[in-house]
Amino acid sequence: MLYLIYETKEAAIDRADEEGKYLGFDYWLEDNGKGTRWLTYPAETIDHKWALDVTDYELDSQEEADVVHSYTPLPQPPEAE
Amino acid sequence: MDALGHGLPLPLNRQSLDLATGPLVNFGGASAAYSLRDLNGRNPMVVRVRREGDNAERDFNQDTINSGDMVRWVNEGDENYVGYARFQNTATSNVDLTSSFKLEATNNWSIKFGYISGSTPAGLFGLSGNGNTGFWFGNSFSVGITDDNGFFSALNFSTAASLKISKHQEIEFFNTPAEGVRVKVDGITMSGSPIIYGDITLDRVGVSRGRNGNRVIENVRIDLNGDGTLDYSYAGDGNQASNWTDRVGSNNGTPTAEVLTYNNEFKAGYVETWYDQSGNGNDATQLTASLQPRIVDGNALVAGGIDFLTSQSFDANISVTRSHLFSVFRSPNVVTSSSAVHLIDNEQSFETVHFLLQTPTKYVRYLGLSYTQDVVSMNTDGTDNLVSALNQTAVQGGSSLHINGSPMTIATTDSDGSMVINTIGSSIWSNTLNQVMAELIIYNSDQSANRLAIEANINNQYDIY
Repeated sequence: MLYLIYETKEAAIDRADEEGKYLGFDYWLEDNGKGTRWLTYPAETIDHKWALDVTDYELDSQEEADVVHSYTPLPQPPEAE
Repeated sequence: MDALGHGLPLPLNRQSLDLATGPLVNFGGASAAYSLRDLNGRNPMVVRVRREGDNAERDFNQDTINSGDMVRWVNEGDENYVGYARFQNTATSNVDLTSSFKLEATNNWSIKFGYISGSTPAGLFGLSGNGNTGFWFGNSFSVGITDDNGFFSALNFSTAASLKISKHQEIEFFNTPAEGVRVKVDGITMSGSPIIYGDITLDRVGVSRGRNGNRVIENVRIDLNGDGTLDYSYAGDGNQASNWTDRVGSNNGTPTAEVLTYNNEFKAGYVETWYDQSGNGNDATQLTASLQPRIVDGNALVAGGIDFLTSQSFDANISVTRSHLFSVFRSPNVVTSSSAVHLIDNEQSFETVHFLLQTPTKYVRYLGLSYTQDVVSMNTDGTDNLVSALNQTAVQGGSSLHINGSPMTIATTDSDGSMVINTIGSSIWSNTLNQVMAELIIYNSDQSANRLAIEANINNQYDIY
């Protein structure tokens, strides 16, 4: 898996939007606010940044240099056993 | 009320007899109701489906699902090209022409061809000995072109005319002297500016600049000087030399080893919206493609409902205080201690997790960070289960759980009485459903008096027990 790490959720969503437009998802083709918008959606990291799974994204050269292969997600609450 | 009396509650002693219609006909008032069948007798749209490949979306009702229209729509577009040459995206997957030809910048030349795209980049037309020269699709809306002088520029032809994966499209590259090269896709000419290239010499189909062909290039027609008469033409309707004989001249093509035959590669369909049939507009949606449950797999409907098998889920927004849930989902046939059969949750806060079957033997309800856990039993052989779960506070009368019609013994400490269900299929605890779900009906009321009749209706539909 490949991830790009963003400082803010908004920045990560901007990149997800860009990919959604590139892929021609319905949300971007129809002017009705319906339909698929993103290929992937960012998840919060343990240090409150935002990780976007870009494994299947078309990356530019800078992004290819910036990708990481893993991240630490926010810790989850205890679970029933 | 219609002529059949639908719309009015039936007397209790008749409820179990009305099995042919959806349960909402006789037991309305649900907060949300999801299924692939008609639950309310109005034949509503039940799902909005995105198909793999071109990402097109369309709504379907029970009838168009059962008739096979949905599966055909997901897989439409390339049935007529079965047996055509299939470029395998390998270095030995191209067609070599007997001799080269030149597209001169001072001429009105054109190359027209039929195309079924796979992944990009994908080689189209090139030159042996000079791997950079020629044409290749860089992505769904740009073609890379390199001329004989080594000049390269990507020509964008806009998303409006973009390639649709697995769909047959008519492509044309054409040159106007002093203006440059343009692209036309399915009759739509690019609206942007053309680019001027020098002469381009070609002698191969299916490869350029190290990019290999992917899927179908057929009915190739080349006019070198814009006089309306083709100079070279190839059917490409197979992977034999006879399929690449020049139909107007003698510049024949020879397919290399990995030009195979196209076989209408099937696509998957995914649910973007599971429409709420209750009338409350509580549609369950998933805007993120990678999280959308699957409904068509290959050339068939997913057996048993909607496939949440690899951590898919829906977002929802359903307010309830004392809920009664009826759900049908296919049991796991591989049970491990970590498997989770997770139905609904208010994922966006650490409030009450409303209904969680964690492994087929544990029924768990959270209140804040504490939880109540009960041992239950259900089918674990890959067949369906019908779960009826009533959640309300002890003050309101306690809770109940029935699985496949049998009462389970559960604790009476229950939910906090009100919550918003935000998620169907996953939780903030990272549990995911990982099963196939057929139906989910949520009442914001105690349906104990109607439980037997509703269960009978559902069981009649799915033949669970």
